[in-house]
Amino acid sequence: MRAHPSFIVAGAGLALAVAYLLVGREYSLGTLPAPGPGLFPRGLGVVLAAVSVWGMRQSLQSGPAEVLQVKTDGGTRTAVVVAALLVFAAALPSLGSIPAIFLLSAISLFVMGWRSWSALAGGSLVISLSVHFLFASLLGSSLPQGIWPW
Amino acid sequence: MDLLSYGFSIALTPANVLAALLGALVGTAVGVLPGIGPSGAIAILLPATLAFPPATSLIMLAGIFYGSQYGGSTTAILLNMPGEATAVITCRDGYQMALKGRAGAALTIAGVGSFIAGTLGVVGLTVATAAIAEAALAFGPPEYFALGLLGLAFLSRLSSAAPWKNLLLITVGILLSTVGQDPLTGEARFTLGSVGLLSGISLVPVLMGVYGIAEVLAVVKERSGFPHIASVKLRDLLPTRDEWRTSALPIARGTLLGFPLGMIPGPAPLMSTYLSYALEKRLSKTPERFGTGAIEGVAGPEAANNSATTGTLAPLLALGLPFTGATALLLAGMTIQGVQPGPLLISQHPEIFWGVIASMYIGNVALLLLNVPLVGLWVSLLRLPQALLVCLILVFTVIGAYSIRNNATDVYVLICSGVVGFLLRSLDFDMAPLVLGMVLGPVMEENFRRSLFASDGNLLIFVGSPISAVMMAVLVLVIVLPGFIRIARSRSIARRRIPDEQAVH
Repeated sequence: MRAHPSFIVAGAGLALAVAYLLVGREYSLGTLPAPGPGLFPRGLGVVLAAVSVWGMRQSLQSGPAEVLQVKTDGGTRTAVVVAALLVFAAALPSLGSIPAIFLLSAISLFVMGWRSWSALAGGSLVISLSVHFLFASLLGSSLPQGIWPW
Repeated sequence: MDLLSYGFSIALTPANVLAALLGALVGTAVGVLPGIGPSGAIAILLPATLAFPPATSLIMLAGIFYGSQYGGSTTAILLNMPGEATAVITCRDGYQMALKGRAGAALTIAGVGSFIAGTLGVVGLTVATAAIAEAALAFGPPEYFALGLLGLAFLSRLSSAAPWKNLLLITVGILLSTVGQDPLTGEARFTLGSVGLLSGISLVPVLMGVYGIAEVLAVVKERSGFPHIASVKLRDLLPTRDEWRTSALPIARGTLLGFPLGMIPGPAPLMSTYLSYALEKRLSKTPERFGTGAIEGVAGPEAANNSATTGTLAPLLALGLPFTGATALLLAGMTIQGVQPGPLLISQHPEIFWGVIASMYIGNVALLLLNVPLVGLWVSLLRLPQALLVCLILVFTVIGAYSIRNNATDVYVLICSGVVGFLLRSLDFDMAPLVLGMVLGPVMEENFRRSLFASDGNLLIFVGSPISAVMMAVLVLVIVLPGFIRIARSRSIARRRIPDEQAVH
């Protein structure tokens, strides 16, 4: 049997609620005249659990209309862009902003259909240098230098 | 009047005029380009505005916000492709007018209607914000708690997704806001031992993720090119005398309808367009023309959405409570600049309040001048290489998220939020409830606990004052009324069915 995507989301909500309530046991409930830091989260966890169960019931009743289609060309493209973003996040502190932006630009331009290597390299270089100049020089942000000499 | 003159003295400085123009330009551009909405654009540009003084940065962000409503109608009329959700209804008659060779007239009426509604909306905003802010000075913790609860209840009912989906995201949003230090005792909560989470989950990367990154991922998934666009000649832009006459009252009604709706939590600008369209059709002597190119079907909704957009700023400025995703972004823009909107904003930061208000008059004039005569230029934006746009937006968003706190963790939060936002949106979840849950959660928790402290644990404090009692009564109605209506409707259908069945037998 194939699970309904919304059912999975509601189920994830329930799992989150249970985990939240378990962690929340560490914090004191206090009393009504002096509520502690655990009171509000405890109530919130219960509400989240109830809403999630309601959502699971609603999803089961709503039929098979929604089907999350990820296994398409679009899905692959999206997954590659997400991977490029993660590579960017990992590379930013160690490689520095210019190489990290270059990588992200090159991958996203390739995914969006650019196939000429010279255009990819040239476009990515222009974008990485311009964005670095805009943020670091004009807006005064301190971007990680990494292996980049300047 | 003196205060407004003071506002103009701030808004008319070269930097602020430039900021208003830039905001209007970017707003129109994102309105024209399908995919990236005003929330996405504000999210992407938020870090870049940190370099400006607070008033200048807010003038620009507000310009993007209201400017996008102007641009949305252009592609709706010319291509039957709404640039913004609020322009969906404009497609019906606007595109039909374009097919009949009246695209120019529809664009002009939409632009002028938007200008009138936007400008009158600013007058309404000035009056309403001052009045609400004065009334809100009497608000204590129970009133703020009730207001937060009421706002979220309205949102769960009125937002575009199913109520359970809205409630789920509201609750998750509030849950995320509890990570970090307890607002009253300072005790670390839900940090799982991470020092990085002690200061909580920052709102800005979440906003940038669920609006900016999620929208870009959706564009990457679709990767559909923009269609060929016919050109509109300048001489075709002038509506006939009859078209002006027919549009005047719908514009007035749309303006009056939109502004109060804008102050209600939920997707007010979108709702206002549908209500205005329905109203115009009902009032028309020839309702059959609607859907075939009736100018009233363009004039009313366009005025209504601009007026409603301005109205959404009133609760933000007067109470510090945003009731839409885009106003939550404006709140984030204010708080990272160290400005706290609320009842004291007008007295503590008059330069910001009056400067932004005055800049909106300037922005609306600029938008009228930029939109109608330069329609060809805006439409040519659709000829930009989509790959380049996607790449630039991605790079701006990730570098922007990093540069706010120079924190690599924020980039991971941004990516996670973007992926979650993309997946949930493909399942018809609306992301505004998550964001508003995150914004209103701390307000509600703090005021809930303060109320209990103040009343020695007496829960009746939440209905103790007339204001909070009324809000709680409305809250009960918002929760209970839809159920009653559903039951009454099903009973009435059942009652109608019985005689039909008896007649068959």
